[in-house]
Amino acid sequence: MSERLETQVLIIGAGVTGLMVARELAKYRVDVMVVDKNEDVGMGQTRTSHGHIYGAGLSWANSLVLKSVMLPPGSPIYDPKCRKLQMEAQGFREMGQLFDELDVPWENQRRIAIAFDGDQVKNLEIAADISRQGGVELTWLGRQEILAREPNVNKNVVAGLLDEDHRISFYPWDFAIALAENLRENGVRIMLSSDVVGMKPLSGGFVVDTSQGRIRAEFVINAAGHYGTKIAEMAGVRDFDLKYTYSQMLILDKSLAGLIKGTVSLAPTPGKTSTLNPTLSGNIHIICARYLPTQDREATATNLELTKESIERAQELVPAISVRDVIASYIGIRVFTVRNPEEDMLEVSERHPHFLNAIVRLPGIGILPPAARLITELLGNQGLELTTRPDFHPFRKGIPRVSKLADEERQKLIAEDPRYGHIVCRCEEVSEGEIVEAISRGARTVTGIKYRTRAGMGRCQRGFCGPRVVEILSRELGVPETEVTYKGGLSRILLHRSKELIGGTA
Amino acid sequence: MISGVVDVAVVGGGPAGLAAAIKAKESGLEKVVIIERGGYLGGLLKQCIHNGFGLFYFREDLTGPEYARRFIDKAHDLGVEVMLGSMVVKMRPDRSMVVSSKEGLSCLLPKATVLAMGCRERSRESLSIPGTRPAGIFTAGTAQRYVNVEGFIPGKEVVILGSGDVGMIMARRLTLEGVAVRAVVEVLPYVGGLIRNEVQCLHDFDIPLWLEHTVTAVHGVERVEAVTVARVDRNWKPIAGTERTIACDTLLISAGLIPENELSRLAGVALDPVTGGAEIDENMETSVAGIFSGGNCVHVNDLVDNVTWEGEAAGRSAAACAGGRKRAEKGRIKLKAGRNVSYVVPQTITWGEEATLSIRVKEPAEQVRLRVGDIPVRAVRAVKPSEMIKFLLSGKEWAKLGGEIDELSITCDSRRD
Repeated sequence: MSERLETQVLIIGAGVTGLMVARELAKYRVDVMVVDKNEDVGMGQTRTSHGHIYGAGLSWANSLVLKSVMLPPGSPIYDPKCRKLQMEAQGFREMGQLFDELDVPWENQRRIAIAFDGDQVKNLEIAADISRQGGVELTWLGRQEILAREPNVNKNVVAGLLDEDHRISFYPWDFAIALAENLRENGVRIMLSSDVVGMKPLSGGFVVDTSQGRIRAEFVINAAGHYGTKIAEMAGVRDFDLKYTYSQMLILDKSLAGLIKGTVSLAPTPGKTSTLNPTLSGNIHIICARYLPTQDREATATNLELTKESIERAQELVPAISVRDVIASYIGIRVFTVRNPEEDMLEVSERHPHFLNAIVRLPGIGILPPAARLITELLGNQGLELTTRPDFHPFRKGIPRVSKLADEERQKLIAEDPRYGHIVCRCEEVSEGEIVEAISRGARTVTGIKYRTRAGMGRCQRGFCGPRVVEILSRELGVPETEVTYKGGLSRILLHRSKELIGGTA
Repeated sequence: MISGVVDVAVVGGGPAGLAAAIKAKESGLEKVVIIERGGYLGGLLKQCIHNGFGLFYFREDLTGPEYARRFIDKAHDLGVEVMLGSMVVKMRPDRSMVVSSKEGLSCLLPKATVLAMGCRERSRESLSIPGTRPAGIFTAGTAQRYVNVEGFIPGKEVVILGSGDVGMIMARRLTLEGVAVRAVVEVLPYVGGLIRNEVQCLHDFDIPLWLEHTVTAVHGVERVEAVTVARVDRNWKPIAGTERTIACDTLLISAGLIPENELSRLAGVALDPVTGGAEIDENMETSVAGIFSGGNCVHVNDLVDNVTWEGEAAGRSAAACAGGRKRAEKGRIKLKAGRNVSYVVPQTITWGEEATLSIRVKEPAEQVRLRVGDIPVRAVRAVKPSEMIKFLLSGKEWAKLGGEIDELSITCDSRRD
């Protein structure tokens, strides 16, 4: 494509950060475009984000202790002046409404942190103290009180801390997909599979070359996450460095739903977490991980030793968990800035007045509403005219999920479109109607269908629905099955037709 | 659309479900319904285009589709009703169920139900195979469906992890399609499937079989580019320094099957943690009265002939139950897996009743004797975990066993001891 495109603001990176900035800008009469190298939105850090938001309380205190390992020695764990913490608290108050506007499923989650010995009790005391400084008094629980709430927890538990709220659970990809759908409706262009390959600063903007063509932009927002340094480098404005850590997470079969009623975690420890989360779909999400440093931003290969470590640590908390219950595992790569590992980079580059960095470290999703406003304000300061758009449409409706509908509603939906009666993914009970709707909303790959509908996310991991999904994608997109990909690029699933390799015709 | 009261509802239209429905209908019931998720009857038999089916049941050598056809035709001739493209989405302990199809939701109230959902394959993830997550990783059965039903070849160079029957059959099938099967990798010191498949599918086609090896890593970002294979020790742990990398574009997994019992759970049916299937009695009745189960969703069989027999037994019992027969609550005996026995099906039997017992051993052994309690029931030359052993417990054994028992252990010991 050699088409030349123009925009006022070009956002590089269609993760939740880039998309939230785009949403904020869409409230003004500003021409916005988002590009991303991946075939779908939210495929970088967003996808492997844990999907929890907390602005105070136990999870917040736990996170501060956990991340303290990344701080320079001697820094206080809690600094009330820290911008990130203020944004977290503000964002937490806003996210429920935002999720409702975008029809992103979410729920409040209880968290209990537990201790098995005196040292761990001391760690609980530290968490209780930090939480108090943040304005939340946590409740101490004794052994019997813990077991009454979580009967499957290791009976050797001696004490615990309870936080009934201050924790929202959701799926981060649901959020990215919902944002993207709503942005398109508000006229924001999102160009996927568009790798930025070059950038030239001009007076009053940039010329950005992508694998899908050249884009002229007045402002560039670097929301490229892991690749933030690469983008800044290309623009000739790099004045920062990033470091990366990786950790491995596991998902357990939903037949264990109910094994834990809320989040259960070990007393907070710097650099190491043992946390079991019930998810919206009933699976237990194991985050029994450490921050392991890596230089490789693509190092997403899982590791058997980490799986074993995760399971052993999960069993310390809840002995009934077994490696046999694992249905999926994945690596998440986290980014920290070297300049100030505590903070996010939300700034106008010192090297170019029209280049802004929006690089967020975890926990990042909760800060996005105020962070997006800050970026917008900075753009205004740099001369972007911000006139409110009266026709901004904040709402988006999700794909109907037959498994969540009451029988009468489900019956009605099937009567309108019989494809909602045909179940394609048996593990997650996903209908053909949902899959077709996901394609009409932009899914182009098996992975795109998975994140939009949950087809293939269950225990058989596409064993049964895989061929059906490929067939539906082929039919709806009008391409041969051999062209359907797993996750874009060269990830074709079926390489040949029958008899092709032996010179015959099928 | 079928709804309301039916005599027997059979969930699943594979070999077990077909056999159950046929027997239930033959016993004279009015309304026998098969509820099948897919678009056709016969289940996985339809993609098993190789031969070797029916050697025991029909004493003939049939292909999977031929074997299925006989039962499908019979079910139609008898007037068994069939709901295709229909999935049971809710099931309660009172047997009432909600079925979803393109025609809508329907509620069925069966007098008796047979669960015949079959099994699913272990995935790469359930085996915790580390590495990247590219396209090109399939379970052997999914690949079989692509090749034999849909007409596609997943890739040109294949490594197969696990020597289950489907994996070995796919090794041969893909070789015939011009695919290079680089290796079949098995963690055990012997193949996981039948000996006949080892000989006819691997040795006859010169496909390398690497016993006591496993896949320790998958490579490739978008498509599989290679896998690392290593030798394992006795505890299946990879031995450092034995790794080698095999270039390939596809990895097939044939490392075990898991009975499908989500509906059983919904209905409150007790499951056996070892088999992964429902706990049943000698009449194939589960812990929930009026719900029966047979075939691979009770325990994974190696031969379809056995699946058919179990389905028939479940169908006959379900018909009797629909006709008013109640389970005897007295004289129940729990069967236990004893020395070198990994499981016994059924898990409970009624004192004095004739019962067919299916067992699997834990370790291969030669010159063994099977015992029920202290009573020897069968001498066997060689046993191995991949081959199920069936035997009858009849009046003769009951006479020796005597009364007043509430538990019996099944053991497999050397005859030389």
